[in-house]
Amino acid sequence: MRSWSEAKLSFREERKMDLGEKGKFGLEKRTVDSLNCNTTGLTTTEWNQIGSLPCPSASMVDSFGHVIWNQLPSNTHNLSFSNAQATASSSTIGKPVPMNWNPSDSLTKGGMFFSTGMGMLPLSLSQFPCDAGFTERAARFSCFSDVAYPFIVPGSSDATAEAQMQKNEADRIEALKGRSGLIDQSSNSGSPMKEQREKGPNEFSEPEFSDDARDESPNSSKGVFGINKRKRSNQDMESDQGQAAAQLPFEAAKDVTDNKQKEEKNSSTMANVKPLGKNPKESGEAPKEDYIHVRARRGQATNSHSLAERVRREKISERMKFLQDLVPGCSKVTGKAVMLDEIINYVQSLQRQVELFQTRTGSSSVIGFTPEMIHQQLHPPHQGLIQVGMAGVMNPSDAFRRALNVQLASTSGFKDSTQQMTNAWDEDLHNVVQMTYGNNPPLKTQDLNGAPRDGFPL
Amino acid sequence: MQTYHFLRSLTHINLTRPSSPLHRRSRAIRRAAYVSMARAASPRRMWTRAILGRLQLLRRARLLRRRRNYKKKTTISTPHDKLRRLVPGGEEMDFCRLLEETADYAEFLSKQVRIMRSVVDFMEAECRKKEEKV
Repeated sequence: MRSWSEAKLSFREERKMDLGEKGKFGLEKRTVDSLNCNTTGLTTTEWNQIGSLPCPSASMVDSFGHVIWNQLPSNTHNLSFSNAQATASSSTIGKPVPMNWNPSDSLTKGGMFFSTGMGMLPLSLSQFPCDAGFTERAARFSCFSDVAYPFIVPGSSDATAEAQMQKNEADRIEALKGRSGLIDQSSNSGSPMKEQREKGPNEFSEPEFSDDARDESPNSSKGVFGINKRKRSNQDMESDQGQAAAQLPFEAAKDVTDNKQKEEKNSSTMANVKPLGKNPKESGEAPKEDYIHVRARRGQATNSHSLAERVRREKISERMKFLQDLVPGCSKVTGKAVMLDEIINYVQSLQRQVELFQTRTGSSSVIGFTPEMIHQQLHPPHQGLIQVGMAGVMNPSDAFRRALNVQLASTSGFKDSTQQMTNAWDEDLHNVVQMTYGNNPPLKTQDLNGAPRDGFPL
Repeated sequence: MQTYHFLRSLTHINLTRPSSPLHRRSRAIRRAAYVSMARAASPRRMWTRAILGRLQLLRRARLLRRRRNYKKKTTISTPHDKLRRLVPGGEEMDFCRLLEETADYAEFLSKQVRIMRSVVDFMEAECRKKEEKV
């Protein structure tokens, strides 16, 4: 029988090893969950539930199976039980997490485990990468991990899930009841989000984790986020970050057991970090995913509508901040309305300037614009001219070009080679143009040559 | 890239019918400015698509010898109406998206203004130079 610390270490190693496998995470979470379950005294029933996971996704099964077996090599009474379960569902995820450690130890260790995780949570959350496809994976995984799914249970099935939950996990229910207030709220809010999130095999309501699901569903996006963080803080967060998104749903499930201890902590700590981690993710996933994982903050309404509103508000504030940086002289302005007015004024002034310049351009361009020269210059072959050196500094056309280049430096996207090329052209064109066109061409050629230039090396 | 497009279209304007009235040229230049902006920007943006769509609409209208007024959607009245009208294609976006598009649009607009300012300065300087020579 392995000690708790050993188990923990191996658990961590497993996680690190299976970085690319999200399902693994869900499993691991489950193991922790089951660990807690053990502490509560619910062993056989839990194992039963855990073992019976019909997972449609075969890929996950493989990863999970791999993870599970790796994690618990030694056999305990739990292990034997879970093994039986696992063997029964060998093809699927045989996840029963045989806990090698003693329940009492696990409880204490678990507390320590999570507490350390909590401390690191903010860090991990901030590092949380936005996984564009993670919601998809999460959805897939949710179906996969019956155990871990809390998200998946739809709001409508909450009642049934609840019933199942109660009969399956009496102990857990009691523990969860402490958070029932929070959970109920979250479940209500989460159900709409869960429904969004469920794509495909969402309808399975896992009896054992129904409670988790309820709890998780509302907090699914955020809760998972936080839970993931906690778990991962102990392990390699960097490596897991990529999977963190996927793990979120599983995290939620795991969270149920941890929630009792961490709920308050999570909400407070995660509230701060989540928006940060979530925003880039949201923006990155917005075009792909419909649902966003949001977690209810401490002391805030957990209604699904308010959650979505909060997400939207955060997005808007993020964009407003970006605009604030863009619009010159808006750093001191605070408030959406004033900022909006400033932005409107700025855009209006820009448009007015464009109109101003267009008339000036029209009037001054009448003087001389020979298109032929210009087109020749515009479609120049890149090779050959690059060899030519820079135009002489004394050349007045170069001076003009320089001024033009400096102004256009930030706007043009051409590389330095083009600059050299255009410099070379200038010289040649200048000579040629003067021979043929007189005064007019220099204006055009320089103007045109300046277009593709990025900056002036001289 | 934007500069390149703009200058090209500018020369094209001056190439074709350099004797056209000033206001028409101004309008053509303005169109060229916005089109060059849209060409340089990513086509994923709503405002670029709106500008290019407007351009095609104009072309088609001219082809059919018909003037089609740009349809204004004024049904929704929100506190961000003004901004929606300013940004091309901003009528049908939600506010969040509108802010994003505005930021992108403002960036390209400022670039365009800088391009035009330098072009104008350059050309006017050349004009002055030529006048001095004469």
